[in-house]
Amino acid sequence: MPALTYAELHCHSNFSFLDGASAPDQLVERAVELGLSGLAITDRGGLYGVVRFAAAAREAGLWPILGVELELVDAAVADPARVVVPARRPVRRGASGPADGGLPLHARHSTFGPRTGASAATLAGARPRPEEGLPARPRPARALLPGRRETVKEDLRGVGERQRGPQLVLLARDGAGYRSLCRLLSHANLAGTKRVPRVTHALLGQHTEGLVALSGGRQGEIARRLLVGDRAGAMAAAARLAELYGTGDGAATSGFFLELTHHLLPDDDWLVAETAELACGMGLPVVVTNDVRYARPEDRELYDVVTAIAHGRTLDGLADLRRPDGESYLKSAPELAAMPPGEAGLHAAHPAQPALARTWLEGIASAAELAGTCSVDLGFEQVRFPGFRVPAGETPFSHLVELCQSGARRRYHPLTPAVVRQLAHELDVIERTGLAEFFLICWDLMQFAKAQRIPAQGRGSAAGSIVAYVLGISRVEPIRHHLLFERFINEGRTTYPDVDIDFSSERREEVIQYIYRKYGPEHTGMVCNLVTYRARSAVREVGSALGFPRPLVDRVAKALETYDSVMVRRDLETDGGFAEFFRRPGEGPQAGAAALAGARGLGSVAGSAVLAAARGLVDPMGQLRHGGGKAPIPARLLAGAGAGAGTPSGSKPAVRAGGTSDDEGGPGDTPASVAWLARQGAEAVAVDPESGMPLPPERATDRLGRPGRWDPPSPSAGTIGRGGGAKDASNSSVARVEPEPRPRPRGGSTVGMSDWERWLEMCARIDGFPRHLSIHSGGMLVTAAPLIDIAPLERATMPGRVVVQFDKRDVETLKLIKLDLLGLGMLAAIDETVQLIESDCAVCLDLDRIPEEIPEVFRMLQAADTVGVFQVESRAQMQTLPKSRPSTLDDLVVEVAIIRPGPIQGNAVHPYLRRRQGLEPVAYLHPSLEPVLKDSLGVILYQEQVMRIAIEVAGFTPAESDGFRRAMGTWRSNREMEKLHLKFVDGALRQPGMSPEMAEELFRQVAAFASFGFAKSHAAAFARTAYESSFLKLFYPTQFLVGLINAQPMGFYPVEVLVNDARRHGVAVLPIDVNASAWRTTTEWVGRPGWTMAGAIGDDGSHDGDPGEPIPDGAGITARPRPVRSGACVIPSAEPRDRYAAEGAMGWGVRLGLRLVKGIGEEHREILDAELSRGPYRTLADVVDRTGLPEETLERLIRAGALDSLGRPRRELLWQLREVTGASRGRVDGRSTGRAGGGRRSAAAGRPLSLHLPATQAPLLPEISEPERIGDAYAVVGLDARRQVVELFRESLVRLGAVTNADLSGRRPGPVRIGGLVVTRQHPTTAKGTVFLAVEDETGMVNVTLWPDTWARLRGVVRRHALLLIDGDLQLEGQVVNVIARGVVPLPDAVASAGGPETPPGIRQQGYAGMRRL
Amino acid sequence: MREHPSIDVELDPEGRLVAIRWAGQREPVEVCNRWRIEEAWWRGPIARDYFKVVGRRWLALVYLDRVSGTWHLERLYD
Repeated sequence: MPALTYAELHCHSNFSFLDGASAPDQLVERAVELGLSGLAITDRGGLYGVVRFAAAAREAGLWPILGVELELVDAAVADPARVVVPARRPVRRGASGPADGGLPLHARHSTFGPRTGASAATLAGARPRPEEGLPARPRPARALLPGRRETVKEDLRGVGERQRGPQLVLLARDGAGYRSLCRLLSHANLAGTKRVPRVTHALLGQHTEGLVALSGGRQGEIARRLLVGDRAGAMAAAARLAELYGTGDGAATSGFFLELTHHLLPDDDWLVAETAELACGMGLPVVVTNDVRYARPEDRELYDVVTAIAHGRTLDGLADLRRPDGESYLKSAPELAAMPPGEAGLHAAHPAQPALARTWLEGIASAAELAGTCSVDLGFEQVRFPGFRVPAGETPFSHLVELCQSGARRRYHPLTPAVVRQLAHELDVIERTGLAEFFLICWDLMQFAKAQRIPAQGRGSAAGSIVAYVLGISRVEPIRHHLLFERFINEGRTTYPDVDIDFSSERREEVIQYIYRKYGPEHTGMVCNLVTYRARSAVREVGSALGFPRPLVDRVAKALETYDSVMVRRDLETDGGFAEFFRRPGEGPQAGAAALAGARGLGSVAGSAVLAAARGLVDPMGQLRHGGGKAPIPARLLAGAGAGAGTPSGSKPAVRAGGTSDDEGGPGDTPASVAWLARQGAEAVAVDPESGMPLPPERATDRLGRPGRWDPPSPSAGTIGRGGGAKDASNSSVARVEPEPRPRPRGGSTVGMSDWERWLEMCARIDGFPRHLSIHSGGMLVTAAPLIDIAPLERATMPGRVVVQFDKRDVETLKLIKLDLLGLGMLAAIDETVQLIESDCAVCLDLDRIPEEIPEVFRMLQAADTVGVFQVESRAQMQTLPKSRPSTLDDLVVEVAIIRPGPIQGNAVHPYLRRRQGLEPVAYLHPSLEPVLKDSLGVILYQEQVMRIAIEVAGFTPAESDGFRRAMGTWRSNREMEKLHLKFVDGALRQPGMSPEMAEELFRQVAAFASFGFAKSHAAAFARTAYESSFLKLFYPTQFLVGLINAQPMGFYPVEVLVNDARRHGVAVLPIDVNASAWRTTTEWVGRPGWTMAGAIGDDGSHDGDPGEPIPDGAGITARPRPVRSGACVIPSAEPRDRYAAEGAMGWGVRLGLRLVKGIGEEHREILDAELSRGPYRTLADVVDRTGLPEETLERLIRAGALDSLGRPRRELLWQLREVTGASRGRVDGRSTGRAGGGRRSAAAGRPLSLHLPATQAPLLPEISEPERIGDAYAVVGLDARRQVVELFRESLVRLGAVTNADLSGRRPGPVRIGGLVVTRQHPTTAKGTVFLAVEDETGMVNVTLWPDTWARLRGVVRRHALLLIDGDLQLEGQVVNVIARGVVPLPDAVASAGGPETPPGIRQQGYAGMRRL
Repeated sequence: MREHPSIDVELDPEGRLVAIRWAGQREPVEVCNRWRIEEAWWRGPIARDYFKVVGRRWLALVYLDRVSGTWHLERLYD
């Protein structure tokens, strides 16, 4: 018998979104191992994975077949009994559906808006406003906003395969078949709801060309009918499908096959036999498939987990939705041939046993045969250009040449031979690579942006091209910056050049709409973005699926610092305090002690509860115990632990309900989680009352207070090692810190692992699985062929927006044209700044023409006074700027490129900085390197340098050099590397004076660098923007701050830092006020200060006493901030300021916008701005009525101080609020009086009659205190316009011996104490576990470093508190200030113990609301 | 879970189930349906091959426990 071949034709990859458990390449790998002749990927409802699959298969030498598994919404023939399409529960409506979302609000306003306004105003005793002559009042039309989610969302959770529509598998036989698939899916997607395409038989009938259909296995219509005994129906359905897809004689010509699938399910024997008989009777061909969901048998476990996630259930609650056995893996031909229909012959109904076995074997063979006839080429290179229209008589290339020539004449005066030569060279390459149209498309885009005054600039490798420069695509002059065109395009390059264009983030949408208009919606689509599992999502969803209680899952997820699911273990082991649970039996005698120490990081009580939880949680099988029911908690132990958890500084113990102290609880703990942990904590660990540390076992006491014994858990528990002694505990706390990742081999079954181990293991396995699709931020696909023939389209969440099912990577593989239109917040900020300067100061600033090297700007950069400056504002940049001291634009290019993970890891930073400071001589490995590496002082820094070394030293051609760079970057295969290595060394040896050792060393350096390099063209483009933003920050700080605030979210720092930094530079910041603030932040005239920025400030910061112009009434501030005179606050001196800044620039202040208040969004913009222009609000009722804001938002406005200008105390306003909102909204006691259920209400339903009663008089309430005011402002806005929060504590801080940040640079190195607000916290992967905090007080910011052991010790406090009192060692290195933390306590606690003011809850609980974790 | 009584079975040379022995009696049987259950791998794995068998006197549900390799009688219909 000849060897049997088989190809699997029905197989899900993980691109079926939680209905498949193996990635395409894993399936390919396994298929090759099994010797399959082909493999089809038939993902559910989409072609998301086909590009990767086809590429992986081609690489592995496997025959790829592209297909899809569809779920049909109707039956092929009439189905009155609903045996094919089962009745399902009705579609649930989304929460924001018209039933309860925006409609009531809308209706309310459209019906009785103005009338209510008048009556409410009367009610509150104010005179009615005149209505005439004012702009019409806009309606808050929440329901009509773009970006609203679709209201109907089909919820398939809890709906098993059997309850869904019947399946059908379609395979593409050829290119036409692929197009049919794309069209079919596109139509189905656009007709259906998001993620649930609507496929009907009628639609199937419209797209059959080139398609082969398989009956769909057990969930196909035919099998479903057979299983209920409807043989006639099954035959009719088969006949209909056969008619649709065509019959033939054999696998090569037939269009419809019956699938024989045997999963060892009940009745499978019978079903296979019955199907085979049906096929025989009707003369239809059969194929054997295995309806595969995962590559290997052991992957079944992960498949169950993803199924549980998909249905939102736990594994235990999944019985009805899970496949009952693990047979859905890829099987080989022999394994399938041995599959048992043989035994099925015992079934009485099918005595024709040999015939069935023969059919089964035929089915296997014909699967392979059918696979061989399917061939799709995903090459779309001929159709990639959308056909750019050029003037008559021109070709795209001749047109491009013409544009370049005129552009060059405009850009270059004079036109030097070097420019002409470079231009000719580039055009030559462009002509030969046929990319002229590509440049024309980009040029056209930039023309549009220019005409519309949309800020735009190219970045990335495109900026290295002179063609891009003269066409206005890039703003970087390539010759002056020694950029390399070959980095962008060369003839040897196989992938497509990418042009990234940054647009102002606010106006990018206009550009996108322009492209849609220009090339037509059928040729234009957004590239999708695959959202994949990362650490936190994996931990959450896998944890829930494995049955861990939600509070615990939350807690673990919050303890993660990593984004990489594979690294979860490292995170939890090193500093999550969860180490105990992940230790396998017998993994060292100190396991228990280590865990004890680990619990410390988490805090005593909660940590011990977790610890104990594990002990109580797992039964002797090492399994999770579900459902609780454990021994009662020794309440005394828990309470005792809580009381003993005071901090060493002697602050109050802070015991709270639930037995947790503030230190350990914090925002991460819900009462539920604490309660759960307590419930599980059958045996809590006792805590040392002195240190707050968990006690070692010897010192713990039992329930009766007697010295207790730490009973070692039973060895069979599998998770917990033996407890160690006290010494071990202290030792291992250090030893435990192990930032190096310890990836463990993956694969195999998780049977026998502990639950915690399994949790981690599953997280690692699910890492990178696609979870759902979202829209890519800016990738636009533009094609010549209709897009619908190239990729399936589907709806994006944004109405009217269509995305293709391919992501960025797929599009690159297919070599299609993709334009990356990115939104860059800084461009929006700069644009707004320039416009404000024009309107405020009547200065028209052309940033292209500002001088390139203003010394003042560089002085500011050298002083690291860069908060808000593009690219160089980060903590790491601020630490290096005073050392690198950039003084030219080229230096700035280096600065932008060097503070990156790559150069830091490659140890390029320190040599550069040392050479820059003259501490070590600039040295080159070989003289031939000098011209290449001169800019970067001998350090390899840019990708272009790698290429130029390859060209100029090793004698590569430019095209080869790009290949070299890429090969070095990706570390493809050893053989390829070795080849390049030899070529490189051989070439280098031809240089005079190059020794073999030097050549080897050079190769090593180049190879080490290439994997993380940065394109210089990109850095140059960014450096230009960084320079411009520095210029604006220095000379127009007010306008620049407004630009930055309005472009949020962007940059490195929260608004709080930007505002305080600006205030230190003398910018007046005015508080939010409904009667003065627009929705956006604006500038407001506050009169010129008496001091001028320059000159008038004395050395001690004093000024000449001139109070300046009076501050206008209602500004909300009584005094202007004085510029802080410190090293990190550069104020422009008189002469350049007069030259670059406008006369009136200092007379403007910043009025914070209402948008900064939480709860006020884009949807309120129109109404708030219109109402502001209609005149001031007089009363609270007036505000309520005119703005239509919900009660909680109004409360926030009051707490933010935005209603202070109504002239009433805040407490009184809060008192009134409920009453007033109730009266105008038909609410009594805060509850809606309309019909329950939120249905469509009649306009006046439930509204109390307007009785014109006066408002209730508020009782006499105490004035709000200053700490409360600031606390509220921080809680609601995240900042206070008048003061930085730390100022509040200054008096106590002085008593505690703390110094201000501004004073640090004048002190001598050594022990120091500071107090401040943590504004950013960083855990750079390059820093090996060291954590950096940016700590701000009212005088400035300082960098605080926590070494890994300090972090391990102080993690609990630092993670949960934003206001800290830090003891540490001051380090000064030139102008660089650094505090190495030794001890950290929460500032409010320390202050309270020092007799300072009681901290209001707003500040205490502020947590990290405004902080960015990086 | 209650333990199902263990039984002896007779297999033919091709591994097919031909008879079961229980309570001292031998019953030749034919398999009329069969399925595989693989369950609860996250707790204590259950892996069983079930056979619904019909004999002269009995209709029985028996299974092969693939973890222990033993046969059990789960249900007996008179």
